[in-house]
Amino acid sequence: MRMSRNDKDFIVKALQEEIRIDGRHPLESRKVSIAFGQNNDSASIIMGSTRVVTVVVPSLESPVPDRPKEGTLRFNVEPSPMAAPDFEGGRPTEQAMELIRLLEQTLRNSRAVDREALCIQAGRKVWHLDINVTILEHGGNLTDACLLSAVAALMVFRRPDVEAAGGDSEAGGGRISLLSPAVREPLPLSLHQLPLSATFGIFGEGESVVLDPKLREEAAAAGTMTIIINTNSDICAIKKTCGIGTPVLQMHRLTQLAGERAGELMQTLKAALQRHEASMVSMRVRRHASAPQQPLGALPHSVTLLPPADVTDVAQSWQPDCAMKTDETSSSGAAEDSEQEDSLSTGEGVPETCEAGGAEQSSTIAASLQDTQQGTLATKSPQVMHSKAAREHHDRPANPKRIAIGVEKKKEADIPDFLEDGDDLKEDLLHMRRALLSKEKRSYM
Amino acid sequence: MIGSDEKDFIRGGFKADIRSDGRACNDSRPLSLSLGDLQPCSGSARCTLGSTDVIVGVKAELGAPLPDSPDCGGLHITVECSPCAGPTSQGRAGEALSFELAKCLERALNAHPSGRGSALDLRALSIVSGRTCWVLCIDALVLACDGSLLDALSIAVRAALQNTRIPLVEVGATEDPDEEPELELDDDPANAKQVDVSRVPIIVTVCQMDDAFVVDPTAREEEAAEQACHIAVMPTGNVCGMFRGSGAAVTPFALQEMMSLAQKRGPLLLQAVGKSIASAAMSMET
Amino acid sequence: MEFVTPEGLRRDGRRPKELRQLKCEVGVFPHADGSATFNIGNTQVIATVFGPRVADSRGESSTDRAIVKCAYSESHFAAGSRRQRKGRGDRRTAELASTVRKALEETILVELFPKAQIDLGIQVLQADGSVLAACINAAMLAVADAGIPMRDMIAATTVGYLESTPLLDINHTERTGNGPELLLALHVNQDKAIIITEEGAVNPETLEGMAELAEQGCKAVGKFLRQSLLEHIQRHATVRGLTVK
Repeated sequence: MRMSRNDKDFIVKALQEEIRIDGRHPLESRKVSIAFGQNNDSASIIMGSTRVVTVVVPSLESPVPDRPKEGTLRFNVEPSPMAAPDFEGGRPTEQAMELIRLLEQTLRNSRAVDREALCIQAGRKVWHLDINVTILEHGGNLTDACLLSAVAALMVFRRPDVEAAGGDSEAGGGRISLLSPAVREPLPLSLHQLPLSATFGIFGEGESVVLDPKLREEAAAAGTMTIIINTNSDICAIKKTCGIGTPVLQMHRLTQLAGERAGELMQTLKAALQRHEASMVSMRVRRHASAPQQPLGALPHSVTLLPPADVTDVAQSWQPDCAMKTDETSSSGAAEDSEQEDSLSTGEGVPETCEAGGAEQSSTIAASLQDTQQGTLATKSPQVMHSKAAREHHDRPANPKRIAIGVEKKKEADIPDFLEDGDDLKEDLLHMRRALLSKEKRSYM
Repeated sequence: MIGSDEKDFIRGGFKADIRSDGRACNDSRPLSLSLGDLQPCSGSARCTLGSTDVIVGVKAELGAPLPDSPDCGGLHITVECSPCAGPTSQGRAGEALSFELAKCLERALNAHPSGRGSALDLRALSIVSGRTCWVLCIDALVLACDGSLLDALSIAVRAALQNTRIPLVEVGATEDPDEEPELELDDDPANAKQVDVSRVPIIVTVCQMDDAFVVDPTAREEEAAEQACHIAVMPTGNVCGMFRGSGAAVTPFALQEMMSLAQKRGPLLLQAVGKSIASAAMSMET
Repeated sequence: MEFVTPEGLRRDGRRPKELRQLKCEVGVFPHADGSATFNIGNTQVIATVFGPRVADSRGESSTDRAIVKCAYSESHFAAGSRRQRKGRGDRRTAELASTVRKALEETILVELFPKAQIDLGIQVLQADGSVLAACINAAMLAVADAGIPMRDMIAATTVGYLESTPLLDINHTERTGNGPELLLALHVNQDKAIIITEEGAVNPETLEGMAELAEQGCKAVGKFLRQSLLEHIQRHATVRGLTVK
C-alpha cells in the first residue's frame, strides 16, 4: 500500500505520544473473532478489518517415496484480488510466497502436525491435506491472521476414519474403506505444540513498537518483526526480514511480549472451539413433532440423536430405503423381509463384500477405494450414506415412533394411507418399488 | 545490442586484420583453466576465455541404462545461464540460449542415443548389463558470456571429463541371474578410473564478414559479423559436427574456408588446453 | 549421530564457537559493475551487481529511491546429491532471493538514486550450510565493489543449537541434526540486526545464548570483510599509482 508522506508523519508522530490511529495502546491487539465451518473443515478469522478463511481438504494419495510412512501437507495462500487494491490474481506474489513458507516452516517442518498419524498403509496410501488459506480482506498483519486461521482449521478438522483390510490385494485385502461419520466418529488430527504468532511494527529508529499493526500502520512502519511461539512457550520461529535494523536486545524483549500474545490467542481459540463443539452437539439433537420443545442440554426421552452430517439430508432427500425398512419392521413375517434381514447381517459383518448382494445395506462402506484409483472424500456416494443413516434408525429397538419426522412424511407420500398392512395391493406396491430400487442401485454402482 | 556505427567499426577492423581489442583475425584470447574446484562433483573445470567464463561439473551417478542400449552408460547434459551473467541473460532469453547451447554440446558429444559415434565410450560406463550403469551428468554454468561460449564450454567439458574420477565398482556374485547383484563402491581415489577423453571434440566458433574469417569472436563481434559457425573438431583435426547460428546463408566457399580454419585451430587450442591442464595439475600437487 | 564430542569438538574438528575458513575475492568479473566471491568452508557463492541504471519498467520504479532486484540460482552440482529439477520458481529460492534483496535494500543508500534500478545476481556454486549468510556477505562485497554507497557494512552468520551447545556457522551435516537455526545479519558498526530468522523450537534463554554467539560471529565476519575490502582497494590504488594511507 502506498501512502502519502503526511499520513506517514502523522502516524509516526502520534506514536511518539503512544497514540495509535485506532486509539489502541501500542501493545494492544485488535479483537479476534473466530468462526468454524459446519463441516468441521474450515475456520475464518476476523481481526479488525483483516479477514482470512482457511479450508482443509483431505484426500487419499500415495506417499512421497522417501517418506513412505508419512502423510503429506500442502499449504497455499491465496490473496483474493478483492482483499486489497494492490492484490492481483494470477502469479503468487512475494508476500503470499513468504506466508506459505512461514506456514510450512511452523506447521509442517516443526512437526506440529503429526504426519505419521496420517499414514494409512505405509508406502501405499496416506492422507494428504490441502490447507488453503484465502485472504478475503487485507487490513494489516496478514501473518498472524493466516497462521491463526490455519491453526484453527487444523484444530477443528476431523478426518473420516478408515479401515484397511489386511492380506494381499488379490484376495480383496489391502482395500481401504472410508467409514462414514455416522458409523465411526471422524478423528481429529494429532497436533503438538501449536504455533501462534505475534507481529510487531517497528517505527522511527526502532524506539517505538506496536503490536498487531493495521494496514496503514504497516505502510508507515520502518520494519516488522514476527515471532512465533508454540504452546510449550518455546520460540518456534522468528522472522525479521524487512525494514530497519533493531538491536538484538530488542528481540528478547519482543519475545516476552509475543509469549503473552500467543497465550491470549490460544485462549481465544480454545474458547471458540469449545463453543463450536457445543453447537455441533446441539445440531445433532433432533426432536419429534410430538415432543414438546425443550431447552437444549436436557434430553427428553423422545429425542433422537442423529449423526451430524445426515440430519438435513435424511429429512429432505428421497429415501425409499427408510420407508421400506420401517415397513419391514412393522410387517414382520414376510419371506422377503427375512431374506433382507439376512443379507443385512452379512453385509454388516464383512465390509469387504460391498459389491456382493448386500452392498446397499452394508453399513461400513461409504466409498470403497480400489488400489489404483485415487479417492477423494468427494467421491463418496451420498446415497449410500443416506441409507446408512436410515439403517441407524432401523437398528435401534424397533419402535416406529422413534423415526425422524422427515422419514415418516416420505413414507406417507410413497404409499397411500388408506392401505393397511397385509393388504395385497400394498404388498404389490412394495414389491414394485423394491424392484425399481434395486435397478436404480445397480446402475448407480 | 550495438549500433550500426559500432558494427561498421568492427567490420572495418576485420578487413584491416586488426580487431577492437588489438588481436589479428586468427588470434584467440587468453585461455585459463582450473580443475577440481567443486568438491561435490566427480570432476569439474572452470574455463575463462577472455572475459567469457564458464564452469562445468561432472557427477557420476548410478542409474539404469536405457532399454534399447542395455550395455551403455548414460550421458546427461544441462547448460544454465547464471544470474551473474547479467540481467540480459535472465528469463526467457536466457532459457532459450541455454537450451540451444545444451543441444549443441549434446550433439557434439553424443551423436546417437545408442552410443554409436559418441565422443565417449559409453560401454565403459556399464556395470551390470541392462541393470546398472554409470550416468555422467554434465552440468555447465555460464557465469559470464562474451562470445565464443561454445568454445569455452567444450573446453571446460573436456577438461572436467579429464578431471573426472569414477569410483571402482565391484559386482558381487549372485547365483540367480534375476537377483539384484550387490555393488561395492571403492572409495579409494587411487583405484578410481578415468574417462577416456581422446575422442571428445572441441568446438571452434568462426565468424565471417565478406572475405574475413575471425576466430574466437567476442559478443560484439558475433553480433557485427555476417554469420557465425560452430564447428566441432576432433583432436586429430577431423571435423565431427557443425552448427550454424543465426545470420545470412553461407556460401560453399566460405564454408570450406571456415572448416579449414577450424581444423587448423582445433589442435592448437587442444595443445593450449593440455598445457593448462598440466599446469593446473602441477599447481594442485604443490 | 553425535555432533559434539565430549571433548567439545564438532564433526569437522572445529570448536563450537569457531567459524570455518573464510575466503573472498572482490572484483572477479570485468563484465559486471561489481562482483565478488565469498567462500565459507565449502560453501561458495558468487555475487554480481549491475547498476544503478535506469529502471526497466517505469511502473516498478520509485520517484524517491532506487529499486533493488535480486536473481538467485543454485547450481545443479551445488549440493551433495544432484537435484533433478530445481526450477527458479520454487518457493525456497524465491524466499532466499527476497531476503537478500531486503537486506541490501536496507543497507544501500537507495534514496540517492531515484528512478534507478540495481540488479543483484547471486550464484551458489557449492552449498554446505550457511548459504543465505554467505549470499548476503557476497552481495555486500559486490555492492561495495560497484562503488554504491551504503549505510553500513553488513555481515551475516548462522548459529545452530545441537546437543545443548550453540554452534557457530553450521555446515550441511550439522543441519541434518534438525536443531534450531538462527540467521543474523548485522550492521556491524551500528550494531543493529537487519535480518533475524529463526527456525525450530527453542526456549528463550537458549535463544539469548544463540543470539549472542551470532552477534560475535557477525562481528568476526565483518572484520574479515572489512579487511578484504581494504586490501582490494590497496591493490587497486597500487595498480593506478596512488598511495593509500
